[in-house]
Amino acid sequence: MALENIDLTIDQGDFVSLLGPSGCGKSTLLRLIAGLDTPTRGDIRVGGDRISVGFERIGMVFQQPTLLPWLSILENVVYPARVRSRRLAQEKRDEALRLLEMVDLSRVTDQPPSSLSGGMQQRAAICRSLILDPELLVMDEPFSALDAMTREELQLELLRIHADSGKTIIFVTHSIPEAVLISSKIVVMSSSPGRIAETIETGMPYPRTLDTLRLDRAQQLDAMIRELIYGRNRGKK
Amino acid sequence: MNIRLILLPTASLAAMLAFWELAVLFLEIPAYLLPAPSRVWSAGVDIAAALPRHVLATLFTVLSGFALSAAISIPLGVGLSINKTVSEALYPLLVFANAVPVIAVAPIIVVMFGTGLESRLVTTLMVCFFPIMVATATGILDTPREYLDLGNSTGASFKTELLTIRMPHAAPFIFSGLKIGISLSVIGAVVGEFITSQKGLGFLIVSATTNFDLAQAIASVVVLALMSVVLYQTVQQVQRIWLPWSIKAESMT
Repeated sequence: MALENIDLTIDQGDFVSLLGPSGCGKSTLLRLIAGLDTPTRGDIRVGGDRISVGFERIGMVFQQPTLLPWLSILENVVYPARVRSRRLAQEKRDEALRLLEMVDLSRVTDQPPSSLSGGMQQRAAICRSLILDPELLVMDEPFSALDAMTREELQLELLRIHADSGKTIIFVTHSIPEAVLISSKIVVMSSSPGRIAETIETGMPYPRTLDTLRLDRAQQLDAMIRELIYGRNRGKK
Repeated sequence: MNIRLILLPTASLAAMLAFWELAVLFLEIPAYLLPAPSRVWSAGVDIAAALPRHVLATLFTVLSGFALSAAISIPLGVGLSINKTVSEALYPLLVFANAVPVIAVAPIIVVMFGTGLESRLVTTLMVCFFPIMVATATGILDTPREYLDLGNSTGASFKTELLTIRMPHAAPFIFSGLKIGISLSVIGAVVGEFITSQKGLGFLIVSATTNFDLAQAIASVVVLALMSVVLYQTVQQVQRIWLPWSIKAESMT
């Protein structure tokens, strides 16, 4: 998937959604930002530093929970610390327990991932991405595999984490309401080649709830994005 | 456990034994051609006192040959899977080595390694290294891309990725290889005993058949088969204890 002339600046504390049809390269862009792939041209910097793989200041959440089945939930959450050293993993246990408590998983810390529902697994994966206290959270359609109700629950949970921690979040989604609900800034992308069609400041106040979607501004954003993605006529249908 | 799973095979075994017994009796088949189950049983009882010595001898060969194979094949499998040059250089040779029928080279092995334990270890190694090695390499290479992405996103070095992601992921594969390997190493050990040994179940079978004592030979084979089943179940049990997470996915094997 090719991307062309992407120029995007994200400010600290922003909650940015990358939104677009499949094939527009939003996941590719996210993988570049996370340092999983290298751009053929140009560079990506966090706070002035060039990205290198395993950048401690980035936490990543994938579309699937990607919990390692041979580790308990707690061990999965401290895994990024374990990669650095056993000692760091040991030191981060309390922090992991605190994060798990925050997302209501205190009871299952010693269970294997397979005993948890998809939503619970993705919560644990979010804890894992936070364990090294990164400045930037990078999320690749993290809720797309979940049922609608679990999805809303986790959207609100993520908004809460964003409010509490002030972390910068980059969030890939193909759901327009999801992008409108959570983002401070929406990057609408279009395909072949993948490029940024428009960057929109949502301009709605935080904290947000599901009622946010009923605001006039939210409806206006929704219409605007649909027009950008589907074109003027098809969007009206 | 489901009672049918015990009852039905027991019933069919009993029916088969009864048929065999009656066939030998009414068709008046001589015992040097086919002994009745009752005769096999009494032959088993006759050798019962000597049996532990032979079982232990075979068991020792099987376990040491198996351990040797695992110690060679697992690192070799890892090496093949992570290094393209090693794999390209060695894999064809290993395939060839595996294609050589152990029974064909057994006489050569005896000349080279003598009539001691070494020969039997080599025959065991020859039959059981390959499946363990291939299973290991397959498991390492099978590691899902998402797991590797996770490793990369956390900055795992190659070594850390190997130790914390690829090896644990490969572990159930390795156990599949070990389960095949343990059964094969019984074969390898018996082949070794056929040609060199003065004790062991393989020796017992050969010496019984040279005396046309088929009852004793069949009794020995039954003991051998039982041993193989117990060994297989033991490996399975070790997997269950060490890798409980891996059992559900492959409960049939």
